[in-house]
Amino acid sequence: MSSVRIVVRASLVTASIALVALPHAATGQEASERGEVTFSEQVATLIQENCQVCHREGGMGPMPLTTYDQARRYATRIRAQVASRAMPPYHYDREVGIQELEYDMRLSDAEIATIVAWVDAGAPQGDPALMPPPKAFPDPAEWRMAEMFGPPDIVVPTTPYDVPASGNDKWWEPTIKISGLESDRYIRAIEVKPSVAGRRVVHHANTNLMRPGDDGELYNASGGRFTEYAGNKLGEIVPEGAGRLIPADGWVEWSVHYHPDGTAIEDDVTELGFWLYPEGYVPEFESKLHSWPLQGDLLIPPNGTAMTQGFLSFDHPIRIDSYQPHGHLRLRGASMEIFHPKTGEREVVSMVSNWSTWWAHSHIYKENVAPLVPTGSVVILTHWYDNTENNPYNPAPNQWVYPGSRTNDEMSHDWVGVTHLTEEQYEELVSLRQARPVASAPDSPGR
Amino acid sequence: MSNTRRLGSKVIGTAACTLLAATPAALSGQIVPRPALEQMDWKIRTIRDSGQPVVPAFEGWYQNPDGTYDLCFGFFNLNRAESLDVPRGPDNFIEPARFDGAQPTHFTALGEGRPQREFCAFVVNVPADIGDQRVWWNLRFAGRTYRVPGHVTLRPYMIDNLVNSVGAAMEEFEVNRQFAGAEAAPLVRVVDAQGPEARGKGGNVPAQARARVGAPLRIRLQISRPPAPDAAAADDARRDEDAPSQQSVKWTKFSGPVDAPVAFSPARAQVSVPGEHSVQATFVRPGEYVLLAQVLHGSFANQCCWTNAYVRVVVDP
Ligand code: HEC
Repeated sequence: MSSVRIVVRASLVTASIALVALPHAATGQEASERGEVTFSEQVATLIQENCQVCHREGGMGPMPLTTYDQARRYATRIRAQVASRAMPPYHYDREVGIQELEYDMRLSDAEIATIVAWVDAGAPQGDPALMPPPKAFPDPAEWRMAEMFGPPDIVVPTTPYDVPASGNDKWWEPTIKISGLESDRYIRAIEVKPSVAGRRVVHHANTNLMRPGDDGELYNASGGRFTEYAGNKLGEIVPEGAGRLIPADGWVEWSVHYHPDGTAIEDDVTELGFWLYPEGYVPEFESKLHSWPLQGDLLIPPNGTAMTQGFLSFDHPIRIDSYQPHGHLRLRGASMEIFHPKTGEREVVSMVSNWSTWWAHSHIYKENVAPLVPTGSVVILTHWYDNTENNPYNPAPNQWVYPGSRTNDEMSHDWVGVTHLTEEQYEELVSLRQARPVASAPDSPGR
Repeated sequence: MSNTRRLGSKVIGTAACTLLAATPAALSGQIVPRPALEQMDWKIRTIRDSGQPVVPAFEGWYQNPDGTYDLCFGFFNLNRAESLDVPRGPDNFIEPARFDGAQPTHFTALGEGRPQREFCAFVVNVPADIGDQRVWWNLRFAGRTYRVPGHVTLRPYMIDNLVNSVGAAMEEFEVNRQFAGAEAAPLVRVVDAQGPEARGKGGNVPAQARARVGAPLRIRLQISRPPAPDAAAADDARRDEDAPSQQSVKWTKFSGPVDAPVAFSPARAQVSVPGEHSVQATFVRPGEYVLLAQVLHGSFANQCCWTNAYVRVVVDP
């Protein structure tokens, strides 16, 4: 346990960085002093690029923000949501950890300042002639990754399920043959797509990969979960050079967790889409999505809090490609750190201190900053749970909260995308990085 | 920095004994202003071998066909090795008093392995017009009260009692029939004792039996499938007759004399349904006991589906 004791000392440095105050709301004072922010000239483009994907007719947002009148009507709320970084709904701390992420939805300080200044100046329209042309969006029923990769190569739907309007959470678990594959192939990207109506009630949708054994019976060949979806997650992209196999004789065992919310949905179908690497592609690395457990007895008193932690180390080097905390309504904060026993150093890789179960993102590190973890270094996962009234998602602060699969109970694990490396592959990646240093990343063994 | 130090020390679990240090303010449900994450008191270890309390759980509620509601309560004994008896009274009571008496007095030790609470060990039946009224189950240990409110206005805590459409059947591969895959609370009849058939979590009249100290009492359960809700489901059920479903049975002492453990052989078993299960219960003290058999088709953590079958046993010296 001596290495763990070092953790404590190291944490004096890193934990204090990790837990600095929440981002300050940008004031936008500077821009407003110049008095030049108008909807037509600056704000419309920001809203188009960052908001309309959800806030448009038929989008998942509660109201469209496609015209000046709509934006003006909601200006005060837009200011509040944007300044507090609640919207766009991508909650990932900015002061600590790796900031170079793929498909990062966060606004920059300058963009927030512009929107705030616009609202503070009375939300002026400006010259309508200067409005950007309207942005075209794909159908909300479309695959979101189709924009990047085109239509999926393989689609595996669930059988239809009637979701009741209310009642206990439901788990729909059909097993479906993967069809359309002639040979085993490597996956490039995965998207789980609930129906448009189902998006409100699909709390998560996980799958196992099943294959027929010698006796013809199906067995779980994924050794853990095959794919994972929760709360409006975009999907997963397998990093270049890495391989995650989809076998031609495979089956997908679904587990769709529904949380009824007041409206019944008939014949709901969730689909799993795969984009594949070309036939004959041979990956350099083996890549996997892990569900890493956090320890500690998860039990939260009424109006109380709890913390859990998980420690993982490996007998070979790894690269961490993505991080997605998982919990339910009382989980409010999560972090991933790496502790290097040889140097006593402990670094925060990712921190989400405003977590919400309704927005589960897999934070995908840009390839040249994805943490390289040498053999023996320890990945430390932490969750913070808040069962007080201050947690806006808490349905019942007077209840004791226990582990369990329901949304009202709690869970404690993280989905982590990992590329498993040999020592040689690790050395190669480290020297590649040294040849092409990353400006914003401090010099440390993990980078 | 002292807050950070406290967080750090939790990492190695040395300061972990602060569990359940819920303040009186917290217990009475007052709102405290939100501190920053690093100023909050985070706890890690709550389950020990002994010395910890039993904490109650409000599992949820469901409505009965007659319009009344059942409030489902469970509990979590935080001791791996220590079973506790807490007689009904000032240390174990339900408020309002007219609902008192349904609760257990025996709390079996957790044991080793993956710790789980005892899910919905009993229900409190409340009238259809209960409205927003709270029903509190209070437990007291070492001068501290642990309590939860049950109420039917907590919509997210609505649960299923008899049927859940959790489908895990992989039959015919591409098809998963909603009913065949569905889990349903079984019908349970206590064969050697006199009592009606039980189904679901609540409202079940205990069967009656007599035993003597030291002489094993054999109790047999006849477990069967519930009637199919419609013709298609009946078809499925007929097809399923060749493939009986595996369900589990779990026995615990629910109430009875203090310091009088009941030995069950076996305390847990798998049973093919339809089918029969038999247990031997041995008593070390005379008195009146209630034993609880939970027959599970589904998952406790998913809140569906199982049947609570109670057996009242009068044990003579
Ligand atoms: C990924 C989809 C998505 C994106 C992108 C998004 N929103 Fe939202 N927004 C939602 C959803 C869903 C809700 C309602 C639920 C919630 O608040 O989480 C919401 C709620 C809001 C609300 C609160 C409405 C109310 O009832 O008070 C405002 C204001 C808002 N969004 C503004 C924005 C702005 C401005 C942007 C861009 C800078 C943006 N959103 C980007 C999905 C999105």
